[in-house]
Amino acid sequence: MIVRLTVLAALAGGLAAQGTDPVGHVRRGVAAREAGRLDEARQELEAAVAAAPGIAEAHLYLGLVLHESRDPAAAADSLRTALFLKPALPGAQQLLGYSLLTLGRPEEAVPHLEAARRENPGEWRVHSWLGRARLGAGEPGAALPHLLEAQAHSPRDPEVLYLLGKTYSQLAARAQAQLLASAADSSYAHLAVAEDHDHNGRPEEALAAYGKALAEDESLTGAWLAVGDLEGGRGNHRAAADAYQQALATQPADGAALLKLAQSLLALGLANDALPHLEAAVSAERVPPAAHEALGKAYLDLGRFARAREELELALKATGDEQRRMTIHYQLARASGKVGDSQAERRHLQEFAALRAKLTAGDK
Amino acid sequence: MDWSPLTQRARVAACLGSLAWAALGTATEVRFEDRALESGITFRHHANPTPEKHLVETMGGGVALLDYDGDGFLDVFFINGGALVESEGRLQVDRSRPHLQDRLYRNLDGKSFEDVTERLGISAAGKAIYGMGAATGDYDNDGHADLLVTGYGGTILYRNLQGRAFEDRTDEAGARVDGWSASAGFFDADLDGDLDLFVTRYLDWNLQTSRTCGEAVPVYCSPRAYPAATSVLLRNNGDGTFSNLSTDWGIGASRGKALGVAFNDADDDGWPDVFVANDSTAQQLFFNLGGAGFEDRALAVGLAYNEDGGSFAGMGADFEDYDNDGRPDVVATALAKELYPLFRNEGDGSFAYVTRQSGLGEITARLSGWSVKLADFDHDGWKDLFAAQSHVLDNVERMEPGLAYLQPPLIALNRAARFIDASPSAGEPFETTVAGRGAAFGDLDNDGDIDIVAGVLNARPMVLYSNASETGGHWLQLRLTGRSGPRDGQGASVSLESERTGRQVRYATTSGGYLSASDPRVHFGLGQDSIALRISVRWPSGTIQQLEDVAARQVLHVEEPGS
Repeated sequence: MIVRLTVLAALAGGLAAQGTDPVGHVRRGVAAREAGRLDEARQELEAAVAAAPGIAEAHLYLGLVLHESRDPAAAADSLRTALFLKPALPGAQQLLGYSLLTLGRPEEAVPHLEAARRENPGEWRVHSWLGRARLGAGEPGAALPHLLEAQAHSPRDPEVLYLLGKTYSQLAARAQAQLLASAADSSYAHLAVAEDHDHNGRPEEALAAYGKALAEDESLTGAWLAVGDLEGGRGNHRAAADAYQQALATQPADGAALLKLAQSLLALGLANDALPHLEAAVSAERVPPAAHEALGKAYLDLGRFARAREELELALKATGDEQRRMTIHYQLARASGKVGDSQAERRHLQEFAALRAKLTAGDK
Repeated sequence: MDWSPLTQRARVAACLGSLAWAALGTATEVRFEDRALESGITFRHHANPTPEKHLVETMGGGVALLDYDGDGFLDVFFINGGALVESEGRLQVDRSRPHLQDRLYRNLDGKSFEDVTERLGISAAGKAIYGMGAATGDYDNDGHADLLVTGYGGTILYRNLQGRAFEDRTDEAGARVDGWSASAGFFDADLDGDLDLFVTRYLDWNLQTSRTCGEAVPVYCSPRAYPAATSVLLRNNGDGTFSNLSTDWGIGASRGKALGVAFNDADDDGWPDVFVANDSTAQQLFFNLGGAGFEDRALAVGLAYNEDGGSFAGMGADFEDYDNDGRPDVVATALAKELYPLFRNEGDGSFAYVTRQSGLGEITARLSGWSVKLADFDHDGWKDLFAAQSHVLDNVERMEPGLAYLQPPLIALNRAARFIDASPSAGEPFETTVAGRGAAFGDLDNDGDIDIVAGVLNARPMVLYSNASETGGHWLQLRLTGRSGPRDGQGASVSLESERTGRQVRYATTSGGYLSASDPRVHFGLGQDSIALRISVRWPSGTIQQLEDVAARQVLHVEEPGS
C-alpha cells in the first residue's frame, strides 16, 4: 500500500506550537517505521498522541503504523480521531477506507473511499478499493466503473482483473435472476439457463433448456447452433445436422451454420449431401481453413482424389495448427497415393510422421 | 479367383443405398436370448480389482468355443483372471483357489453343459499367470482341437489328448511367451501344412512397474504410460514343437500395444496376412512375404490410423469381407468418441477408412468395444457386426458424465454394406449393461445360426442363443478337413454363390475378436436362396475345390481332395 503523507512538516509545526516534547517521539517513530521496526514505531507514536492528543497528524501517522502492524481496528479508531480533529486531513480518508475494507466492513469504507477519490482522482488504487468495497456492499453495478478505471491504469493487475471477473459474474447472475423472476417462461429465460448448463459442462440439462427456449421461439439461431454443437459433441450427428438446418432456416446465409451442417453430414457419411454446402462455403469472401479441409474430405469420400488434393493443399496453406497440419498431410498422402503420385504420397507421409512424433512425444 | 460379378453387385448395392437391402436379401429381426442360468454354466469371471487399479485387472475375460471331444457340439472354455496378492514382499498372481481358475464346460445337447475342467486337467490351478484369452487350433493335426491360453506372466499350450484330457505342453513345445500376452491365433504362416502361432503382447508392463494414475480419482493408467511391446510368432516345427521366429520373420521389427489379432489374405496372393489391433498406437498389418517373413505395411496401405491420421484404442479386430466385394476388410473396436474403425479393402493395395460411410460412425460414437465379429447373424447374405462393450475405466462416469462403464452389447445389421443398429429389437441381452470383454461365436445348438458366448468382467457370462434359424433366411455351414494343409481347415477361403444373395466369401479361422476363439465351421446366410449354386474352397495348399448345387440348411463336411 502506498499512502503519501506529506504531513511531517505540518505535524512538527503543530507540535512545536503546543510547546511540548512529542516531536522527539514522532521523529523516532517515523525512523523506526522506515527501518521496519513497527512495534517501536507504534510505542513512540502512542507516546506522541498521549503527550499531544489534539494533533490530528500524530493520529494519522499512528493509524498508518497500526494498519501496517495488521491491526486495522485500532488503525480505524486512530484515523477517525484524526479526521475528527481535522476533517480535510490529506490521506486520512483513503487510509481509513482501506482499513475498514480490510476489516470486512465495505459499506462503511465506501464514503471514505469516495472522499479519497475526490481528494485524489488520479490514484488508481483508490478506484480498485472502491470497486472492491462496492462489490462487497452488494453493488456490482456501482463497482464496475471504478474497476474499469483501475484496469485502464493498470491493465494486468491480478486483483483488479479478479474483481472485474467477479463483478461481471454477479451482474450476470443478477440479470439472470431478474429474468427468471420476471419472465420465467420466456425463451430468453430458458436460453439463459441453457447457456449456464452448457458453460458448466452439463450437456443433458443444457439440451433440455435449449429445447424449451426453442419451443418458445424457434428463430433463436444461436440456440440451434448450440444444440447442434452439443449433439455433435455427443456423437449425435443426425440431431446436430437437424439443428444446423433449423439455424439455416432462420439465417440462410450463416456461413458458420453452413459449414457445421456440412461437417455433420460428412460425419454421417453423406458426402454428396455435404458437397453443395461446402462448395458454397469455399466460394465465400473469407473462407475458413476448415471449409477447405472439409471439402477435401468430402472429395476423398467421393473418390474425387485430384479435387481432394487441391482443397487439402489450400487447407494446409491456411493453417499453422500442427494437429490440423498433421491430419491434412495424412489425408494428402492418401489422396496422392490414389492418383498415383507416389512421390507426394511419400513426402506427405514423412511430414505426417514427423508431426505425429512431435505431438505424441510424451507417450511411452 | 474372379470376383468381378460380386464387385458389380456391391457397387449396385452401394448406389441403391440403405433402402435397397430388402431387394437383395431377406430382412429379419434376429433376436437373442441369454440362457446362461439354465445352461449349467456356473462360471463367474474374477479379476479381483484392487484399489491400486493395476491395468491388467480391467483387460481380461476371454472365451473359446471348441469341440474338444469331437461329438459335434461346441464346448465352452472360459479364461479366468486371478488375484493379485502380496507374497514374500512382492505382488504376485494367485490362481490357487477354484474360483480363480479357468473352466471348461462340455456341451451335452446344445442346451446344457457340464463342468469337465478338473477331469480334463485344464484349470490352470497354481499357475502364476493372470489369465486373459485363448486360441484354438489343431496344431498337431491329430483331428482334435488344441488350446493356447494367454495372460500376464506367460502362456499355456494344452495339447488335446483324443478328447479325453488336456496335457500342458508349454515348455516341451517351446510355446512359452513371457510378458503380457493378449489375443492369439493359430494360422499356417508359411503354408507348410501345420498351424503356427501368433501371440499379441500388450505392453512392456509388470506388477512391479504397475502404478495408479489419476489425481483426485484413481483410474487405470492409459497405455500411453507404459512402453510398447512386440508380438510373437511361433513357427510350428511339425514335430510338436515351435520355434520363435519373431525376429527372423519381421514381427519383432514393429512394436505396438497389441490386443487383437485377425488373419486373412489381404492381397489375394494365397498367403495369410495378419492384422493386429493396437491400443493408442498405430495398427499393424503384417504382410506375408510369400513365406519369407512379414512386413508391417499398415501405414503405407492406410490401415495404421483413422482417416485423420489419429490413433485409437484398438481392442478387438476382425478381418472379413463386409461389403461382399470378395476382398477382406478390417474392423476394430475402440473407445467412446473414437468410433469403431472400419477399413474397406480397395483391391489396389490400399484400405479406405469407411467408418462414417458405413453407418458405424453414427452407431458407435459413444460406445466402447472389445470383442467384435463380422458374421451373418440374420442370414440375409451380408455380414453383420456384433461387439461386446464396456468402457475400460470402471469409474468413467466420474471422469466424463455422459459416458458409461457398463454397456449392453451391440448388434448392427448389414444392409447392403451400410450398418443399422438392431440392438433395440434384438432381445433383452442387448438392453442389459455389462462389462463385456471377450466373445466367441458359433452354433452352440447346431440349429444353423450363430450363437454367442460373451465373457463379462467380474460377472457371469452371457450365453446368447440366436433365433435366426427359425425366423431368418436359409443358411449353410461347412466343416472343413484339410489334407495337405492344417487338418482343421483354418486358412481356407470359401466363396459361395447363390441366385439372389449373390457371392459371399468367408475365411476359415477360429481367430478374431478379442481374447477369444470361435467355431471353426464356416457359416453363410443365404437369404431366400435354398441352394448354393457354387461353392469354391481355396485350401491353404492352393488346391481349389468346387461344389455345385448344394442344398441349404445343412452342415456340409468338406474334405480337401488329394492325399
